[in-house]
Amino acid sequence: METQARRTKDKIFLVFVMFKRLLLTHEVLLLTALGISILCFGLLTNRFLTYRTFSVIATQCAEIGLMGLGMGLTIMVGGVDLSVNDTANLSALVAGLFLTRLPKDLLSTGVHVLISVLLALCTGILCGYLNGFLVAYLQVPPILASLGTLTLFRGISAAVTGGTRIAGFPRSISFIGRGSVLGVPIPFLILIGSGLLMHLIVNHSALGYKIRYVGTSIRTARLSGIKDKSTIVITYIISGLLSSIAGIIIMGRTGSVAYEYGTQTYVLVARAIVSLAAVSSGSGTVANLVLAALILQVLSTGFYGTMMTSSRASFFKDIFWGIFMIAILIFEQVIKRARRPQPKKAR
Amino acid sequence: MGILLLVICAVVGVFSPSFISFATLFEMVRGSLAFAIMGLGVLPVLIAGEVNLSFCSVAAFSAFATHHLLLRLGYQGGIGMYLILSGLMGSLAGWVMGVIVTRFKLRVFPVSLGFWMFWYGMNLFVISPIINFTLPPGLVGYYSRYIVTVQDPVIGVSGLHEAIIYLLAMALLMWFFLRYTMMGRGLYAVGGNREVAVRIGYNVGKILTIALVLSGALSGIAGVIQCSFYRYFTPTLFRGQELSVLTAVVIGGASLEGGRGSVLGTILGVFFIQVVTRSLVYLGVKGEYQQFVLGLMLIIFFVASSIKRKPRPEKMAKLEEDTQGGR
Repeated sequence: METQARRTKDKIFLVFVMFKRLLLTHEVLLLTALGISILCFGLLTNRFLTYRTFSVIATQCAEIGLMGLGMGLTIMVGGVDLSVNDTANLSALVAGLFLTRLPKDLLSTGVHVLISVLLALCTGILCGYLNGFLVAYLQVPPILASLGTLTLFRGISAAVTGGTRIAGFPRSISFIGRGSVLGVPIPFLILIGSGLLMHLIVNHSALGYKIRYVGTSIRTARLSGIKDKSTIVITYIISGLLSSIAGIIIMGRTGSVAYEYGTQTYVLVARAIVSLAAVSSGSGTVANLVLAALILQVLSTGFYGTMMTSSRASFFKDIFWGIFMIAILIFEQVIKRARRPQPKKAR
Repeated sequence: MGILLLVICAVVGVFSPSFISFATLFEMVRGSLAFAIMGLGVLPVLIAGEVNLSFCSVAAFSAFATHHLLLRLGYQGGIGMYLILSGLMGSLAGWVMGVIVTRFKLRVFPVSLGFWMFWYGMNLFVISPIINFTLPPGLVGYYSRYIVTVQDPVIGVSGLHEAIIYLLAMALLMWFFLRYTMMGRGLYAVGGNREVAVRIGYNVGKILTIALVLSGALSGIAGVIQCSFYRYFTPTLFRGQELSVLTAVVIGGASLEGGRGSVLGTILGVFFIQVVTRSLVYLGVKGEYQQFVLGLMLIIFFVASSIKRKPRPEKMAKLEEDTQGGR
C-alpha cells in the first residue's frame, strides 16, 4: 500500500520534472520574452500593433539575423567570425560594381542581376574560405584571424570605391530588399529559408554533427577520425555565404553600397544575438538564433516607435539592449541552476 | 617587438627622411597616449583569460559624465579633479561588472557587450547627445602643455605632452602590480589555468573583480586625456575603436586565452599600430588603401606569430626524451 503511494508520488514528480525541463528550454524562454515585449509595446502605444511595424521588424531583422546565424555557426564550431559585416559589405560591393560598371545592353536585366548576386555569393564564399584557412590550417586564433580579415575586407572595399557610395541599381535588386510576397517581406522569407536550411544542416546532417563534435572537443573529434580542418573551413564558408546574402539584402534595401555600412555596431549586435541565443561552442540551435534576432529587432523598433516624441528616442534602446542582454544572461544562469537535477534527499 | 618597431621606423625613414624627427615621435606619442593607457587597462583582464569589450564605452561615459558634473558645479581648476573623478567613475563601472560576473558565474565577454551598449546609451540618452565644447578655465590650453617643445619644418611646433608622465606612472604601477603583488601573480595564475588557481587557493572572483576595476579606472583616465586633447567632450568617444585597442594589446604579446602579457609589450603594441598607420601616410599610401595595407600586415603578423608559437616536432621529441631519461 505504501509502495503504491510512493510510486504514484514518484510518477507525479517525474512528470513535474519533465514539465519543468520543457518549460525552461531556451526556445520557450525566448518565445516568452518575445511575447512579453510585443505585448508591452502594444499596450504602450497603439502605433505598435500594426502591419507596418511588423513588416519593418521582419525586414530589418533579416540582415542582422543572417549575420548572427553565420557568427552563431562559427561559434558552434569553437571559433568566431568577427568579419561578418565586412564580408557583407564587400560582397555587396562586388555585386554593385558589376551592376553599375558593366554596359547594361550586353545582357538582359534579369541575367545581369542574377550574375551579380552569384558574384556576391562567390565573394562571400571566398571571404569565408580565407577565414577558415587562417583558423584551421595556419592555426591563427579565430578572434585574431577574423580581426585581421575584417580590416582587410574593409580595406579592400575602401580602396576599390575610394570611400564613395555606389548607387543606381536596377529595380529587381531593390525588390530583394524591399519587396514582399503575400504581405511577407522578402528579406524575412530569406531569413526563414536560410534558417530552415541551417537547422537541417546543424541538427539532421553529418556536417552538423561534425560541427558540434569539433566545437565540443577538437582533439576528440580528430582522434575519432573526423576531418576537423575541413569542417572548420566549411563552417566559415557557410558563415561567409550567409553574410553575403545579408549584404545583398542591405544593398537592395538601401539602394546603395558603402564600405562603412554598419561597421562594428553590427558585429557586436550579431555577437549579442549569439549570446542571447545561448549558443556556445558545441551546442546551440538555429531556432534560438532566429528568435534572438527577432527579439532584438522588436525591442529596437518598439522603443523607436514608443518614444518617437522624444528627440533622444533612438538612444534609449542602447540602454535597454544593454540591460536586457545582461538580464537575459543572469536569468539564464539562474534557470540553469533550477534545471539542474537536485541532489536526491535521503529517504 | 621593440626591434621590429625600430626596423619599421628605419625602413620608413629611408624612404621618407622627414619621418625620422622628434616632432613625428612626439606627435605619435601624443596620438597613442590615451590608447596606451586604455591598453594597460585591457591587459589585466586579458591576462586573467577574459575579454572585456566595454572599456571604450566606460571611458566615454566616465569622461562625459565627469565633464557635465564638474561644469554644473562651476569647477574652474585643471585636469587633476577630472582624472580623479573619472577614474573613480570608471572603477565603479568596472566593479559593477565584476560583481555581476562573479555573482552569477558568467563570462566577461557577453556581459561586457551588454555594458558596451549600456554606457553609450547612458551618455546619449541621460546626459546629452551633443558634443560639448565648453571647457573649464583650467583645461583651456591643456592640449598644448608640452614638456619639451620642438620646431619642425613639416609639422610645425610640436612637443612632448606632459600627459606622458601619467602614462609612465601608470605603466610603472601596473608593472609593479603584475610582477610583485599576490594579486598580480594571481591574475597570471587564473589566466593560466583557472582550476589550478582555485586549488592553490586564489579567490578567482576577487581577482577578476579587481582586474575589471583597474580596467575601468584606467579607461576613465584615458577618456579624460583623449577629450582634453580633442578640446571637446563627446558622448561617443572611442566608439568603434574597441577592436583596434584589443588588437594592439594582442600584438604586444598578450594572449586571448589568458596567462600571458606584459606592460612593455602592451605599450609597444599600441605604438606599433600608431607607427604603421602614420608611416603609411609618410610613404604616400593613399588614404583609401591604408586599411587594406593594415589588414594585410595584421594577418601576416598573426600568422607569423602563430607559426612561431607552434612547438616544432623535433623539439617535442627531444623534450619527451628528456623527460623519459629523467624517469
